[in-house]
Amino acid sequence: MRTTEFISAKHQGFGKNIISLLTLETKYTPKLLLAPIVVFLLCLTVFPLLYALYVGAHYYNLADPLGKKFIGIGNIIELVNDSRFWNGLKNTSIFMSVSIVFEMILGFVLATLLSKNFKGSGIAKSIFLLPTITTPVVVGLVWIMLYDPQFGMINYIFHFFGMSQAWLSNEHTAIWALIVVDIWEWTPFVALILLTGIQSLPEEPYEAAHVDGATKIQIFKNITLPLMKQYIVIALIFRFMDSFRWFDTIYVMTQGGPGIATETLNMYGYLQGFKFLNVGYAAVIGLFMLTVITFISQSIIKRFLIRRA
Amino acid sequence: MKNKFASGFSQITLWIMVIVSFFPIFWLFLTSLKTRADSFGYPPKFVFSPTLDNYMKIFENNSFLSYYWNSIQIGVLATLFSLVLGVPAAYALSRFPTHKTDQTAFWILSTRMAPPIMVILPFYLVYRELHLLDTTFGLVIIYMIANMPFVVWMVKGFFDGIHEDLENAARIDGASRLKAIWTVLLPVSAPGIAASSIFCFIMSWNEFLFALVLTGNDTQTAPVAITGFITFEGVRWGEMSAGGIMIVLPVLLFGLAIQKYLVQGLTFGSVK
Repeated sequence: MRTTEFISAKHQGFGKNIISLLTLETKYTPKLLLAPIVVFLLCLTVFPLLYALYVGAHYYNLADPLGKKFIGIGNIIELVNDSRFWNGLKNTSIFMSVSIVFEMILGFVLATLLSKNFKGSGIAKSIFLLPTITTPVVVGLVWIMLYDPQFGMINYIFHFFGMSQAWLSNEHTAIWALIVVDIWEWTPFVALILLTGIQSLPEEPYEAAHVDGATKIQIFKNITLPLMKQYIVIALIFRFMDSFRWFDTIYVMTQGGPGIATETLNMYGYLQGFKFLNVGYAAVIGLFMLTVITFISQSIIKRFLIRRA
Repeated sequence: MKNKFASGFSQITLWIMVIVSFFPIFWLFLTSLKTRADSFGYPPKFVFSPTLDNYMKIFENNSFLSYYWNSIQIGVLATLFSLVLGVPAAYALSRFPTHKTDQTAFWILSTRMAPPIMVILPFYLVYRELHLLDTTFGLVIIYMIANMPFVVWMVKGFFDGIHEDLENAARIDGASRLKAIWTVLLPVSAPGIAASSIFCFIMSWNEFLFALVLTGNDTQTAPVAITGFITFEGVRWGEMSAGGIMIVLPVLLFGLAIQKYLVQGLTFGSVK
């Protein structure tokens, strides 16, 4: 088929060639169709990477009229000695680990509850989508009102226990307040992924386990967890990637404050690049984040997905 | 007996979680209907006489409307462009699978891993040179690029579900591949493509960081503009909430319309 196409195209000249190209009847069709997206993906991956490497090797402040100056690994040395960078790394780690642990546990509970198909589960599932799709900026706005020290709903509830707080402007509570928002926003997402997994579980191993008299904990550990592994890993990877880059809600709610108490790496990178206009340094922060996220997600993928195969 | 008790307990837990998920949005809605005095009532008020004043103020305020219009424009354009480029690519990946398809899959996934700061910085610097900062075009381009992986992966999933024989039948009858795609495949997969476009629109509509960095007074999107309410008019909760409701309204409506596909889209089709 391909050879006849080729021969006929060759014989019937240039015009036919164009037509066969346009009607997608050539052997080049897949390449033709994929070319645009490949170019665009290069723009999104390779170009920023190369550019960041280039800019990152320079002292480059947009407000500095002297322009850029090559300093090699100077920015990296500065980064290592920058206590604000370490603070950002610490905050990011707290954010990620605490919120992901809670989201996985609560998500599992929620998925289990949803899988029981109670009356109204359908409506419940729809409602659980709301936090995940709501515009993150608006999420921040809502929670600012809820956390308001004077008029907010949360302090109204806590004042019964004598625990009122200026949640967002206290440097000890602010980060936890933000973590609560993240958990609220993303637990349903995790739950819906895990729900798909629960619904795909086969019944036979459970019946066999019952016959053998296994306890509930044994069943969970030895049957449910291994069978659900793939879904757990997917949920983990996506939550890792997204919480690492979480920005909108923090920007709206605290802008990294009070002081630098909620300043994540992402936030610090933003401030360096677009507030202090220190783009060379910001590029190095970006590169560092890329290295970490690649390492983490690769090791999760390798450990859980590939070994399984 | 014990089972009944356990089931009742589970149901109650589930509905408590439903209420917790729902409450903040509901509260935003209530606040948007409150007078200034009511919105600062203490204890917080559930019962009050609702008013549409906040919405009136928002609509009288021309700048909010123009930001809203910016958001619509940018969302629609970005969606259209990413479909135009993404659907053909999805077709190629679906109908001409090679051993490289898996690599492409991982590559597409990796675009989501890139820290946004690292992606936005070079674009910002290049846009500065090309005078593309604060233009609709500039933001549309970057949203198109950012959305494309989602579009390709979602649409590919829908194409995979449609058997190739359907097009081949048309081709045997003498139709070209293009014609077969246009008259057979696209109509059949229209619902899926519609879901993907809605998903794409939601992504652009909700995006914040790129819009914050790349837009200025002329092209600000609604989510960027509303942060202005917080700093300058933070005390006016009513109007802020009305603006917030206006922003989430299309997202919630669209989102519920395609809820079946949402998780699939958000995870690049790794969960069906």
